[in-house]
Order: sequence, then C-alpha cells, then structure tokens
Amino acid sequence: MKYGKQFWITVALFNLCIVAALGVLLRTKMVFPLESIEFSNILEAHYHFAMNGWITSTLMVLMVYELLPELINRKPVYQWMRWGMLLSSYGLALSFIIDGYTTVTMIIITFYIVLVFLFSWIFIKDLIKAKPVKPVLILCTCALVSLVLSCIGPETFLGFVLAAHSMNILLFRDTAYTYLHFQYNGFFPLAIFALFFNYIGSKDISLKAQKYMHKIAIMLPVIILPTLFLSYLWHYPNVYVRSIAALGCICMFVFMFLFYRLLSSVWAHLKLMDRYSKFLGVLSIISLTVKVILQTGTLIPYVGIIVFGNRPIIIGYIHLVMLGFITLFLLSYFLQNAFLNSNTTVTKTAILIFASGVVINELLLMLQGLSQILMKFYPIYGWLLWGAVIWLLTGAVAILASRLKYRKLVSVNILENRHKIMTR
Amino acid sequence: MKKTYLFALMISASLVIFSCGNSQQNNEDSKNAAATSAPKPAEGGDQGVGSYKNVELTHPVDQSMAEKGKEIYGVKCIACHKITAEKMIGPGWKGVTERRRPEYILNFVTNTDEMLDKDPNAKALLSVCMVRMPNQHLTDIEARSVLEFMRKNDGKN
Repeated sequence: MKYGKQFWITVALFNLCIVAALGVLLRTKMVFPLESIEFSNILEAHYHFAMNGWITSTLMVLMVYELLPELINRKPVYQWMRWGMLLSSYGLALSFIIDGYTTVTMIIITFYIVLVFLFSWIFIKDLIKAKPVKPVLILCTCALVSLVLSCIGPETFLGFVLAAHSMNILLFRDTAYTYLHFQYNGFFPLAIFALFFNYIGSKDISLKAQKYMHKIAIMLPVIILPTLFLSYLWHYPNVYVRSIAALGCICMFVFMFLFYRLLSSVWAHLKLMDRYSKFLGVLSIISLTVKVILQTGTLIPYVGIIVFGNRPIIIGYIHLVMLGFITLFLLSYFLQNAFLNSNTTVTKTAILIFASGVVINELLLMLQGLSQILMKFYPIYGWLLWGAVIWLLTGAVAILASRLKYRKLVSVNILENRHKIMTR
Repeated sequence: MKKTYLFALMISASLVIFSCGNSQQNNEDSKNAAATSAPKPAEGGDQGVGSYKNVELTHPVDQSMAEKGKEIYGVKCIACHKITAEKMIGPGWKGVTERRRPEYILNFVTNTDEMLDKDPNAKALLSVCMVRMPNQHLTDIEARSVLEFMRKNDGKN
C-alpha cells in the first residue's frame, strides 16, 4: 500500500506543525502590529484545523489501522475518505484565512460532515465484524455517535450566519458550545480511551482490570450528557441546570477513581512501556485530572463569574484539553507504537522541547489569568507567551523532522524485532 | 520519492495559503474598518442601554484617572483590544471616543450583556467580531477611568 499507515502518521505530524504555526501567528499579532492579518479569521483557522486536521483525522487513522484487522483496514473507501477529509481540512483552513465564514466554508464543512457520517457508518459496521473486546466496541460506537451529534451544531449556526448576518447570539453560542462539548468531552476522550483499552486489552491483564475497563466504557459515554449542562451555566445559572451539571461532575469523579484503579491494576504492564511514551502518558493523565477539577470548579457561582470573563483561563483550559490531554496522548501512542523512534537523540530532544512547551504555555496562561483576578498587570506575559508558542512550534517541527529522518530506521527496527520473536 | 514531492507540494501550498491570505486581507480589513466605524458617530440618543444617561466630561482629561484606566486596560482589556486602530478579538480603541458617545462607552463597559442583547449597534459589531465580550465587572469609577484612558489615547483634552 503506497499511502499506508506510515504515510498518514507523517501527514498528521505535518498538520500539527501547521496548527502550531497558526498559533505563533496569533500570538505574534498580539505583541506586534500586523494590520494585514485578520485575527478572528486566523483564530477560526487555528482551532478548526486543530480539531479536524490534527486531532480528528489522527484519531480516525489510528482507529482504522489499530482497531480493524489488516484486510479490512486496507479497504479503498477508508483511503478515499482520509484524502477527502485531509483536503477539506486544508481547504477549510485556507478559506477561513482568506475570508472568514463564507459560503465556501459552509460548502466545505458540509462536505466534511458528509464524510464524517459516512466514516462513522462504515467504521462501526466493520468494527462489529472485527469483534474487538466489548469496552472498545462500546467506546468507539459512542465516540462516533457523539461526533455525528457534534456535526449538527455548525450546520445550524452557519445557516444563521449566512441567513441574517445578525443572529440570535444566545443560540449561536449554545450551538457553538454544544459542538465543542461533543467533540472534546465526547468524541476525543472516548476514541482515546478506545485506543488505550485496545492497547492494554492486548496484554495479559487481570479479571479485575477487565471489570474496570467495562465500567469505564459505560461510565464515559454516560457522563457526556450531564456535563453538557456545565457549558450552559454561563447564561442559565438556574438551579436545574446547576444540579444536572453537578451530577455530571460527581460522575466524572467516579470515572477518575475507576480510571486510577484501572491504572494501578495494570501497572505491571505500563511499567514496561517506552520511557518517553510513559512520560508523555503521565503528563496527559495529569492534564485530564486538572481538567476535571477545573470543570467542577465552575459549578461554584463565584468561580464561574470570574472564569467565564477571564480569557487567559479559558484559553488555558482549552489548551489543557487539546494539547495537554489529547496531543500528548497521541504523541505517547506514536512513541509506544514505534511511529516515532525514541532511541534517537533527535526524537528525545524534540519530545522534550514540545512537552516542556505545553507545560510552560499552560503555566503562563494560568498565571496570566490569576494576575487578572488579582488586578495585577505584567506586560511581560504577552512576550513570554509569544516565546512559548515559538518553542512549541520548534518542538512540533523537530518531531516531524525526527519522524522523516528515522522513519526508515523505525521500520527496520520493527522488522528486526519481529524476526527476533519469530526465531525465538 | 513520490512522498517527498507530495510534501514539497504541501509546504508550497501552505505558503500560497499564507501569501494569498495576506493580499486578500487588506480588502477584508478595509471592509471591517468600514463596518466598525459605520454605526454613526455620536448622534443624539445614541447612548446605548444602561444607567448612564448623561455624562459630564472634564476638560482636560483627568490624568490620574487615565493612569488608573491604563492599568485596568493592561489587566482586563489587553487580551482582546489593542490601543491602535487594529482589530484583534475586539475592535482597536483608537478613535473610539470619536465614534461613540461617553454614555455609550460606559454603558457598554458596565452593562455588557444587556448592550450586546439589545443595542442595535453593539449587535452589529458582534456579528463582525463573532466573539461576545464578557462582562468584566468594573465598578463605576473603574469604568470612568477606562474612559479617561480612551480619551487620552485619542489625544483629547
């Protein structure tokens, strides 16, 4: 297969570089005068491309190649859909940069959504045939249902934008939040846990661990609905919305508890993982934990009021999920599965640069948010953040470079290992 | 080998994206500038929605208040607004005291949500910026300091 799994992993890392580059552009505009660049258009391009071009497409590539058996995952239809999604992600980013929301963006989004529906349908059918362990099947199915639900949102609000250009702002914001919620609290974590469970499910794990996996697989999709109400708290701060949101938070803590128990019960296997993969995995789990705590915090009305108007904290929160939890997990997965070769100095350095970039960016945003609460002004934050995103871009480019340089080496290593196992 | 070509293609494509973006941006910008300044310079009755009906301005600008306003700007506004005319997440502040009456500015700053829901000019601006400004919970004195800073920034006396 010419454009097989290895090709798509490289594309994914290239796309991560584009996301980082757009991020650098945004931060640059904040500290330098850049009249010719429309901030909001770049912002739309940055986050749409981060969601479609990097996270969603990478998760789909991994789901197809890792969860489906060899013969099925080579079906040409998957290849066509991947090309379609890749090109529409580029097209969308491009059209956002040029002109913001227009008819063109709507056409591309519609095309992308059709592909998402098609993918979900075909993938679930194939997955059922492939008979994975039950938690993986449950998680994947719910992940894709959640993805399909999230797609209904943009269609509705784009209709509004085009129809009137002055839309019902409350509805606009709620659909935007609903869309976001079903992506980053629905599809992303569910797909991630499906991949993770598929990995530990392939090991010889105890019955207890299997039970935890089962419980988590049921718990995670159930959490999606009540936690959606956390997103509505900003303009419906009434007791019903708050109670449902609180219920969601309790479920999240139960889930986290189960997750830690699962981790400790499979620790013997996790211990043997690649060192750098383990390091990124730990950072990813820390991000997930902080996310849950922060989300729960917004239940308290006073905290909610402070946080919803505090842009650095909102941006910090989004990046905590997208970069800290999801991106670091994906990179950890790449290392563990030898898509990146952690035996080389270049890769090690690249990973350390990127991971430290994520942490520094996060700390700076949280400090900036905190000083906003304390009414302290430090103009240096703008510059420090600018430095942090450049550091992140450096890391992303270095990861791509190490991938391009050592890819051949990786496949040789895999072959050697296979050979060793077979001759044993 | 083919893959290398493909990557070269992708990179050059993305370069084209950026350069296209820039050249077309100028157009877009002038459009936006027109849109932000279009909603009439301060006409009678254009005071927005909120408790400020009639604001007495001091001449010259109160320097100590403007200084305090600058600090507040640095803490609460800088993430979205530049003090030049350049639009970021929200509109740039240069010239805002020409475009809007002081009552309008104070109502917007202290009564943000109602303004964004009811005032036609604020709603029009929102459909350009796409991001709803969150209420920053400024006291009346803080809001007034910000106004003085805006006036100073516009070179008013």
